[in-house]
Parts: sequence; C-alpha cells; structure tokens
Amino acid sequence: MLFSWLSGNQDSLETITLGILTYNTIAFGLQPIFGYIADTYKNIPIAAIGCMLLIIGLLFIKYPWAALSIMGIGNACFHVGGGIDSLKYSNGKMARSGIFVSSGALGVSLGGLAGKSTMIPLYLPVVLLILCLIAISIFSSPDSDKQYKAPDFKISNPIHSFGMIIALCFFSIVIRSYAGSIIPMDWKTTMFLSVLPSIGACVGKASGGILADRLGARNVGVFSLLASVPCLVFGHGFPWICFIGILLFNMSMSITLCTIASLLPSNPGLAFGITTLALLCGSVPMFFFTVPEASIVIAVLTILSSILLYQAVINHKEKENEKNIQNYEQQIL
Amino acid sequence: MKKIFKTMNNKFFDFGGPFLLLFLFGIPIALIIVIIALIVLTVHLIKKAKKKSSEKKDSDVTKQ
Repeated sequence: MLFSWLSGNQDSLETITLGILTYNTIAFGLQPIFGYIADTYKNIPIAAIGCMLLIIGLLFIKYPWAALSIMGIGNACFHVGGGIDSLKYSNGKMARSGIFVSSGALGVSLGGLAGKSTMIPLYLPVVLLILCLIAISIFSSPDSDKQYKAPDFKISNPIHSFGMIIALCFFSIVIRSYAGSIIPMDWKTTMFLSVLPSIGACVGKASGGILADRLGARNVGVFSLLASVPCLVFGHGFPWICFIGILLFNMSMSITLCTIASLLPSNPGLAFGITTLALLCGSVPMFFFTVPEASIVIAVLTILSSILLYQAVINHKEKENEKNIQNYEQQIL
Repeated sequence: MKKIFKTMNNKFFDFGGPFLLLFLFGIPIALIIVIIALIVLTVHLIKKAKKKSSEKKDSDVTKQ
C-alpha cells in the first residue's frame, strides 16, 4: 500500500520520505510498548488484532496518512504477537525466532514490487490478511499457560551485568542496522536482482539461528559478521558476492534477539520490541545524510558490531561449563 | 556590511528560508525527540520488568 502510494502520487520527495519515516517510527518504535502490554495482559490476541488493523488500514487507502498510521500500529502488533510466539515455544533454540524474523526482508521487497505493479488489485492483500487471521486462529494454541516464559537460551555473557548486555546487544543492532542500510548496490537493475539482497537477508537470518544452535551463538555471530566484511567492502559491485555478504551479515539477527530474551524471560514481547527499536535507531540516519565512503564505514561499523556481540554473547552456558569441567579434569589428571 | 547582511536576510526570507530551515531541521529534531522518548520509555519498561521478575523470584523462594 505504502509503495503504491509512493510510486503513484505527485507528492514531493520530502513528503514521501516523511511518510516512510512515520511508518517506520510507528511500526518499529512502538513494539516495546505493545510488547510489554502483551506480556502483562496475556489474554490479548495481539497478532490477530494486528491483522485486523492492517485490514482496517487498507480501507482507509484514500487517506494515506491515516492508513499509514493504522497500518503501522497493525504491523507493530502483528510482529509482537509473532515474536512472542517464536520465543515462547522455541524450547531454548534460536532457530525458530531466526525463521520468524527472516521472512520480513523478503516481504518488504515483494511488497515494493507489488506496489509498483498496476496488476495487483487492492483486495489481494485483504484476502492474504484474512488467510493470515484464519491461520492464526487455527494454529495458535490457546494460552493455557498464563505464566508463560521464554526459555533461557543460556547465551548471555555472565561476566557482564544485565544492563550492560542489553546495551551491548542494542548498540550492536543499531550499528548493524545502519551499516546494512548504506550498502551500495548499483546492480539492482532487474526484478530478480532487486529481490536478490532480500533473499540473502532472509536465508541469512533463518540459517543464522539454525547454525547458532549447532555451532554456538558467539562463534556464528562473530564469525559471520567478520566474514561479511570483505564481501561487502570489495564485492558490493558484484551481485553474487554481495548476496553472500548480505547473507553472512544477517546471521546474527536471531542471536541478539535471543540474548535479550534470555535476560527477560517473562517479557518476550518487550525483548522483541527492544530489537526493533534498535533497528529503527539504526535506520533513521540514512534518511538524513549520505556517507561518501560507504565501504570503509561499513567495514568499521561491522567490526565494531562484532566486538560488541563478542562481549555480549557466549556459545552456550551449559556447554561452556562442560568444557571447563573437562579442562579442569584434564589438568588434575 | 550591515546593508549586505540586511539584503541577504531579506533574500533568505523571500526564498522561504524559515520554512526550509524548519523542514530541514524541524523534522529530524522532532524525530530524534520522539525516538529518545521511546528509548527512555523502553528503559523504564525494562526496569519495571526486571523488578517484577525479581519480586516473583523472591516470592517463589519464600513459598518454597
């Protein structure tokens, strides 16, 4: 809806930019508040409310600012609902939340293409949202466990305090969000190539969670960020090298989310909201100024983000303890 | 010098300078204020959530 308004209207570039910023601020910035409300009042079907608000927003399509605001709130509610669900039933694994956050990048990209196309009728998103509502009512289990808790992922670094780890994760996401938004991609000339970065982000986010469960959160998070640097700095002009860079760059997404969630086990909604607020903070500067040497900035920021992640996360508490015990036993023997 | 400044100032106003300035600096400032307010609110919510969970832990320990 937003993209069709952008491509079709006669407004100035400033108005359009303001539209995107307003939408992002509502959709990403309000998630901590909605998350906290959903954590406190567990009976609220927040994801379903989000879908309904998105349908209502579509009805106001002739009034873009009203539609933007309603749909921004709807988006925030839907994501909080999905985020809570993905953390609550994760069973201590990062894969589930990684898969949940992965589809967003692809959705934004496909939405952009749909908005540019004149072939897609307005009823299509309404039908999709109704299907989404039906799926939520069928597959989401009624909350019998009123005192739900997100399981402890056991990956937060015990050396640092509660506030320090949240701050480290928050700034790691902010830096990553900004660095990700300034990657120069002049090769996005065809439809496939314009979707390619989103496919990379989607695969990266999903595989990051799965690999982190198997190989350790710190290993995967730090290595993937550092490995993405040469691909993005030297290969941003080549679609497939840049694709690999974006894939690696996005792998740490679920790791930071699960680290914050493990610190706030009774508030998975708030934990999810903190990460989206950080994403918003990182994306805002892109709207106001451009950097002349983007490659160098990306390299510096990505390395900085990986250092923050290294400080905030460990591989797995129990496995680390097992290793320490083994080392101790070997030393004694 | 005063004359040059006055002419420049008039031109600035004729061009719609204040509105341009308000647009260029007003929106980022407003946005930054909104985002700072959201961060402050989130920090408050985190503190509240942590306090609640520690209270709950204490009560669980007392029950046991």
